[in-house]
Amino acid sequence: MPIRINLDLMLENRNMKSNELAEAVGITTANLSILKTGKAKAVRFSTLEAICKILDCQPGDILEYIEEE
Amino acid sequence: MRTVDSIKPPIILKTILDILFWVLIISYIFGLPVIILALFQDVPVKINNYNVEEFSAGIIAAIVLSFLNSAVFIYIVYLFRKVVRNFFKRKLFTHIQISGLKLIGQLIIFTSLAEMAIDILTMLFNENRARIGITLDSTFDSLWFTLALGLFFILLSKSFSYAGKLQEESDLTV
Repeated sequence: MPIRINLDLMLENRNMKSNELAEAVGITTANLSILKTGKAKAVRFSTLEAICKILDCQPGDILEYIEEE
Repeated sequence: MRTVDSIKPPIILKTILDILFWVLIISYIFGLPVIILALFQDVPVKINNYNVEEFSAGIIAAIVLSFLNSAVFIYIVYLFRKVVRNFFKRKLFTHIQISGLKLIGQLIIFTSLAEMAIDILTMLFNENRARIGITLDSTFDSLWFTLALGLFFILLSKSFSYAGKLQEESDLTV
């Protein structure tokens, strides 16, 4: 998928664990894992908003477009 | 909107299909020796509302085809039973449901057309005449209704396939 999710990097920079983020955002760890592994088909604005608020970042810091070869 | 958990298993439908399936199997097993006996003893038989007294090669072919068509009908009931049983797992839009409904629809169309062909064949060999025309029955025996039913099953399969994709997308929305 040409959209890369940089959540791992963001979590590492903030010394935060996946389950802590999932709990803070209000989603299951299974759903967060789907997002991190790039299996997600769509992201709700409410989820994106909550992630940005907790990680204090912009949507562009989490989502990155990579051109496919 | 109803969730998958709130859908009750179709117990009555399953029971009806179970009874129908086993009655058909038993009648099919016992029907085979009766037909063979009728062929050798020259006992008059009835195929698609035609009384057959002389067994020419064409009539025997019509009997065999009629018997094979009955086997396909039993297979349709078996598939229907399998699809209905799949609903007991409380999962919707599964591969068994999608492919099963499609195959049931295709086989319903096939058996209806085969029955029409057998009808023409029996008339041709029994009465030395053929008749092709459009008839409209006001019962469930109607060919048009059966064809529509087959197409409806195919439509249902396509709808299930589409719904399955939507559900997958919904499941993968975070």
